[in-house]
Amino acid sequence: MEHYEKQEKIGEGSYGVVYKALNRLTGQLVALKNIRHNAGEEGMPSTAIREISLLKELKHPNIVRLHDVVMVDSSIYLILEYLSMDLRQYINTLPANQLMDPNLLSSYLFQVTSAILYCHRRRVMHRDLTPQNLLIDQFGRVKVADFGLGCYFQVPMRTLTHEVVTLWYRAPEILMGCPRYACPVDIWSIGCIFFEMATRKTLFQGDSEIDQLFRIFRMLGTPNEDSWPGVSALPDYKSSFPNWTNNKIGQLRESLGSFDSSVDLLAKIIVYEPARRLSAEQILEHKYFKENANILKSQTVNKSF
Amino acid sequence: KSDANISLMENIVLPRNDRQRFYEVVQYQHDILENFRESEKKHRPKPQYMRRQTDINHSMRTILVDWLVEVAEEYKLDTETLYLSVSYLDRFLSQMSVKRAKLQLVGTAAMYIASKYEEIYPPDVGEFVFLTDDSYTKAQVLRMENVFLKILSFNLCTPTPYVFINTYAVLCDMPEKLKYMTLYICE
Repeated sequence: MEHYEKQEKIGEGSYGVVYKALNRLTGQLVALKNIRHNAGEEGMPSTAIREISLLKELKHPNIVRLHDVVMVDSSIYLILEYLSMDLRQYINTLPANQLMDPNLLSSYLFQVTSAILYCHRRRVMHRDLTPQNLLIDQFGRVKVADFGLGCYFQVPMRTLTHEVVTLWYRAPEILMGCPRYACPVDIWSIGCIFFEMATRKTLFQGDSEIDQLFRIFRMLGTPNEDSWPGVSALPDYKSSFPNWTNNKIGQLRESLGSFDSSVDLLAKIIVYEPARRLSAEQILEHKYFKENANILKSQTVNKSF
Repeated sequence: KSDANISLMENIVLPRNDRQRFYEVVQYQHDILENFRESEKKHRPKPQYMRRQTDINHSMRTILVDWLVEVAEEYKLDTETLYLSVSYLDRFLSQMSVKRAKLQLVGTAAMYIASKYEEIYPPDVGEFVFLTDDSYTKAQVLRMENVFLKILSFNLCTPTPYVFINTYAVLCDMPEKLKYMTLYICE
């Protein structure tokens, strides 16, 4: 541990503090995530066990790399790749009336989706995709970080916890208490982040679970057996839900601007029924990226997975 | 798990009923299986590890595994948790020489880690101590957890026979009865 020089605190994760640090041997900047685990009664937190074991398996240019794990007495340090900024900070630093560059936007979307496709192919769900968990560098690269809520899924899926995903990016099947969910929960979050990159506005900015649901209903119409087969059997479905009837997602065209295909893409991601939501693979093949193909050529994205 | 079997399966066209089969994540099954096979190669116990152990033998391991089965039933742990525990145990014993008196402690730590990894609500360390009839203290279990994680260097995402069977079952759309028979033989 002695050859790492702690510089400044850069954040506080789900468990423990993250520092920016310098590796004196290589001159490389790293992020040090410190987990004090024997402080509690229960030894190593399960989030740490999952995050470390997942990151050890995930090696992709758009996923933050775990360089090393160092155990010192009652502390454990994750030595992670250092990136200077997260997507939320980046969006906030843009001048007030300026939107993200559309080329950069589609490139970010492509990179994040590639990373998630890589995860899903290894039966890993991230379960907490938010702009804060997407880190960026000055070369146009974006990397998925913070797998503290990530998990390996079994096939067939079994019951999973509902304490996942920051509220604004949480998929409706989780909000409705569906006992089993799968990869599409990550896709829903990607959709929300896509909209947020394009407009600087949060798509569904709820302040409670029920408010979050109603905001989604107001946009997509209250779900029924036609728009979401099986919905009325979900634990938290109430026949007394207010009935919004219009699907207004098409009306987002103005705010999404530039390409018609971006509205089309969003409308195919922000879909109630998880089985009909596009998969990560289908997103990457969507015509939205073909229209932006010339831009993507210049990006350093590993397409071989 | 022969290669012939795999290539045979790849030629089978699946009956598609997306809604029914949704939770089986059919679209990524082949990729997932391939990764299992890669990962299995990297992290497996040494086949003859018991020869190098001086103080323990196969029948002790059997007794320990039987006990783990009971614990898993008692706490209604997922089948996968049990398989993982045994796999961690074997990998630990492949690298470390263990005294007879500490074998149950190693088994306890294996299951403690597996439940933290796999369960939504893992039993807490006190419950595991209780299950060993207070043979060990909380501090001992926690210290063993630490040693354990170091030895396996956190490589805990490893496929078990259980996930292999489930994946094959999904790929060939195996009838439930046959699947349970396979699982029974596997146990």
